[in-house]
Amino acid sequence: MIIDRAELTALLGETLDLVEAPPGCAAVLEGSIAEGFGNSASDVDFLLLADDDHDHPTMPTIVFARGRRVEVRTRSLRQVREQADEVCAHVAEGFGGLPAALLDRCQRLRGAVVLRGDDLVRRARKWPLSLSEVVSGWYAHHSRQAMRHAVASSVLGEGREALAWAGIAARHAAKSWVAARGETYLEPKWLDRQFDRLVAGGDQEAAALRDRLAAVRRGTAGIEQAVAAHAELVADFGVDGCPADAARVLLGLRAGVTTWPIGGRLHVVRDRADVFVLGPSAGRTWRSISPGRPVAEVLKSAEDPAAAAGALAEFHRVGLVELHWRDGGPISSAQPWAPSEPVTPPPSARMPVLGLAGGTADGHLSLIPLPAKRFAAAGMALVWSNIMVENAREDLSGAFDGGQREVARTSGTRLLHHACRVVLSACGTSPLPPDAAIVAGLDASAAVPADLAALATAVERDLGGDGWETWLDRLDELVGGVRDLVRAEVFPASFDSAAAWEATLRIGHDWIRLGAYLDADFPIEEARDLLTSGGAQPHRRGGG
Amino acid sequence: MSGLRVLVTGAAGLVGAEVVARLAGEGHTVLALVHKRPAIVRNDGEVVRTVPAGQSGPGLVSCVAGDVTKPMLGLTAERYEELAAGVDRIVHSAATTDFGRRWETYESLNVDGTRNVVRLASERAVPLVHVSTAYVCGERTGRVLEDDLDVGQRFGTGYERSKFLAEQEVRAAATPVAVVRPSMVVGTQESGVIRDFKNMYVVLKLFTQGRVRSVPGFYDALLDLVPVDYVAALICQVVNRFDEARGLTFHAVGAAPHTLLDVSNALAEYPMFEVPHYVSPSAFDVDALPPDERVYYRRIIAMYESFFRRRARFDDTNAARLAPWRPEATGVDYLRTLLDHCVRVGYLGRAEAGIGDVLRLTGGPR
Repeated sequence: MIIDRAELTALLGETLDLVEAPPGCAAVLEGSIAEGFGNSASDVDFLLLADDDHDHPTMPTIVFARGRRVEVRTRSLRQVREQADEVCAHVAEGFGGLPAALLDRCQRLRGAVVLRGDDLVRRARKWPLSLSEVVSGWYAHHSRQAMRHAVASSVLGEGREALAWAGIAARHAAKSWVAARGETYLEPKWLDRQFDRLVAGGDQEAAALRDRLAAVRRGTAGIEQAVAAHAELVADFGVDGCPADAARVLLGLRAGVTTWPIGGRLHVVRDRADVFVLGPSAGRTWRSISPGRPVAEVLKSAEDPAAAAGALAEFHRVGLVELHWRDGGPISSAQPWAPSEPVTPPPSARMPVLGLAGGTADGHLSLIPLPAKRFAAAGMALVWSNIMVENAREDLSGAFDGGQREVARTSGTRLLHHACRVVLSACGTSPLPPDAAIVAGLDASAAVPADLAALATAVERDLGGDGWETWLDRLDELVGGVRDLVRAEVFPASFDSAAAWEATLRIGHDWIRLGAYLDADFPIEEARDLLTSGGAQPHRRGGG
Repeated sequence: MSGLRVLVTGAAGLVGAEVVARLAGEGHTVLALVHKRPAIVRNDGEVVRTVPAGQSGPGLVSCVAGDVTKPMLGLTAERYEELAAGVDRIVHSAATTDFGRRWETYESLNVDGTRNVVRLASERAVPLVHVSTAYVCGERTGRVLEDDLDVGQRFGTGYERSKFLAEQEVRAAATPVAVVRPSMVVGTQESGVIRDFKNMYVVLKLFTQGRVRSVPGFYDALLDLVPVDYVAALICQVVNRFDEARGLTFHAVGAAPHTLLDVSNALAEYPMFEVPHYVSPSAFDVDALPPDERVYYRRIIAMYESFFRRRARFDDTNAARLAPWRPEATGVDYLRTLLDHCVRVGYLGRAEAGIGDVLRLTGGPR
């Protein structure tokens, strides 16, 4: 130990003068110094054990004594026993759910140097399990998962990730191996010192394995060879169930992920909260996903295997699919101290946010910058407003033909409002402002180009006057501007032909299907009208 | 109760085979009347061991080839007598459940066949357990009681009408009867395993392959799906406790009906599946469908289309009182169990070559 017993006793004495210690408590030194490691920068970690059943706070108290930083934790006997019981329960169900911090607390107590209260410490350490077996098994579990992850990343063409995971797998496997030989301290950074100690004790196998670990770390082979070498070493460390066999990596479905095509573009909803739009190539790859299907098989049958591999890797990263190991369940997070949640990329910065066919992907996929429910609501409003623009335009023509100025004013105002609704919906506004505020809403939105907002304001002013001969042209100019903003390919399809109108209706059904799934707010009455009429336009004179 | 001698018609069918195996497992002597299929295969694929008729006994199944559409079940007088002698119960599950058959087929098999079995039961005063369908209610909406039969309902399919007429034959029988009415029989509650992928499974195949992309229906239409293991368990219970069951009808239905929205949401969980649109029936125009889709629609979906707009809820008070256990799986969770099985065995998620292959699966018109 880098601090001798006398110094420790003095440190404890000074520390206890600075903190409120439970009367009659036991005291131990735990952590790296107690384990025989540590250096000049290492903290001194004291654990005080109280012979009571209080809930003492988890946070340590930090004091400075004799020129050292000292962390003091207090636990009741009940707390440490509960922690031990919790570890036992996790171990009974396998090691996957055993949190690193919990196992760490239990290990530290058992690897601690007792400074006072031997009897109390002995009672606190009572445990039916073998610490060596538990730590070894726990690290073996994480090594296995990391190695499987490495194999999966390699199959998916993610070379750097594959090597990183393989390295983690090898170090975890080494930690498992040394733990089985009594070196149970969890902290990964002391692995080399743990090997040194075993070697110093005459363990020649430890020396050989340590050297092989260093060799694979330095390895310069290609990805596949490097992954294979790591897998071999992991197996030699005694961790089974993770050979470098690509055929064992299977696709699995992730709960809470659903697929919704809108006008031919695939949208994938995660946990009813996030919407990802897939690019065309990624969409084809997505459609080839089937639970239990080997990743390698999917890639083999893909038109562009490299692109498909990239897409699958991205789907996995953002938590849209799972990867499974044949007969081994899901390949789960293998970094016990790291978060296990899927990555969420930054939302798409595209404007407008959506068109009739939903979002637009940059690359394999993009995250829509709206919550799923509001995305569906905005899409439905967009479709509906698009149809109503068409309808109002027909009314307006009829009014002009009939010389009916006030009818034209009403129809023109309706057209203006729905054109504004299209713009605001496309920009992601949901719910929409009321008609009275809809034109002003364009002005207020930073997402709407100023010239388009100004044009809408001008059209509104024109419609309030009597110069009705210009209304049709001005409204057509506005619709043209709207059309430019939301891109011609998605708006307003129904203007073009009967076939385009049918396509608009089909897209309307796509949105309704998504809206129904998300229980989104959409113009339900209007939507019902749309469906029950089959898209018939009551004011239309016929034709396409 | 054990040691009954039970005649089961339609013993090779999906429900019949499961009933046969369970009754034998309970120690009854089972006489299994089969038509064409000599083997009795349980829902999980296990072949039921049979013995020659002369060696039948408690816990054993003996197979008899017959034809319910014919007088005396198509047997010689001698064989008919042998079969009928000492029978304690008859379970009549022989029927065609295929949709799209000609009316003559339904009439012959489902109506005349039932009449012939009723005659046998009546002649010997043997208690009869008749396996009907919950959809004898036709296109009724709302709560359907187990005692309801003829309320002037309209039928969506010839199958339903034939089963309705069959139930009328049963109710007129001069022997004690009980009726079990399963809704749509699907895979087991726990694993979704199903022996035959028929009826709604065929529809699911067309949906998920995108061969049919829109159907006239409502998101809030109700489909009642019942696990096959529950149906068989309930029928066996009615056999065993006939004294309590006599004169009663039992709806063998799921824990709760599924909406078409449930179906849509469950299908969306599978990236490789297409999900259909439900279009209001008043707006649906079959002629507007693309040519390929129109063929599938007319030849297959049209047989089922009334199910996409029905909103019947089946009361099952009698069944709840007698059933040994109750279905619990509901909603998207149960649909996922059923779909997972279909994917696991390769029924879904794999393209069929064309309409001929699909029609073969339906057992429908060629």
